[in-house]
Amino acid sequence: MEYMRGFIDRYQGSGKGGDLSWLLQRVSGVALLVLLLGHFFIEHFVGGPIDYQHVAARLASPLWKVFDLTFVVFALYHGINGIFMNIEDYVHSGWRVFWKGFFWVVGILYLVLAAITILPFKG
Amino acid sequence: MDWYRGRPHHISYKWHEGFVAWIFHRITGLLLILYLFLHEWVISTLQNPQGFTKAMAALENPVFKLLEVGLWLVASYHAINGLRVVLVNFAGAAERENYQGNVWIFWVIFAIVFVAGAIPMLMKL
Repeated sequence: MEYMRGFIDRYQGSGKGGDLSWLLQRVSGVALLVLLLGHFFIEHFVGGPIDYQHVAARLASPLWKVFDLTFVVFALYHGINGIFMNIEDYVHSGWRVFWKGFFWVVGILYLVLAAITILPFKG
Repeated sequence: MDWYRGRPHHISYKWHEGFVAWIFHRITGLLLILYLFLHEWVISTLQNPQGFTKAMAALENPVFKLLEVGLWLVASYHAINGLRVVLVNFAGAAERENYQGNVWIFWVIFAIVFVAGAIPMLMKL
């Protein structure tokens, strides 16, 4: 792909040094498919309507804490990495740094929000 | 789009099956991350049982039930097309002679999965 280098540098597309995030996007995507099916099944087909008791009973267990935290970490990574790909493809000015920084901050804030919701929960 | 032609980053796209699938993948991806932010924000009310019960009561509104079908549309599209992309990347599904056929197989599978999931959701409305 060396002959593409000049072209890629000029357009600064998502092909520039993004091979690891590209691969991780595939890996996290497939993982999310499995996690989402589990999440969907448990919320819609097991137990009654989604009320506090339903969610609390599940979220009080350490196993589901691990499941939900893994789910939200993969989902946030996959989603924000996807936003980064969009930024790389469409933002070609100094705003790129701003938007990437902005979504780094949003990502970390939402990770913290997930952690303080899930981890200390006792039901 | 004439105003865009000849600009430094102008790229021409061909409107073939795979391109349409790709552009929908981007749009649905952005909608899903937006949903994730809202979903997580609502779920964070769990820290206060009254707050959670109030949030859930608000979501009983038929408007949200209908939006849920929209969410199923967006999520099932993104998930199944994502699998297609993985097959294109790693299983040679981009070979010229079968590429377009594969895109059409994807559209059919997606339509079946979406309708199969949407029927029980609409019946609960």
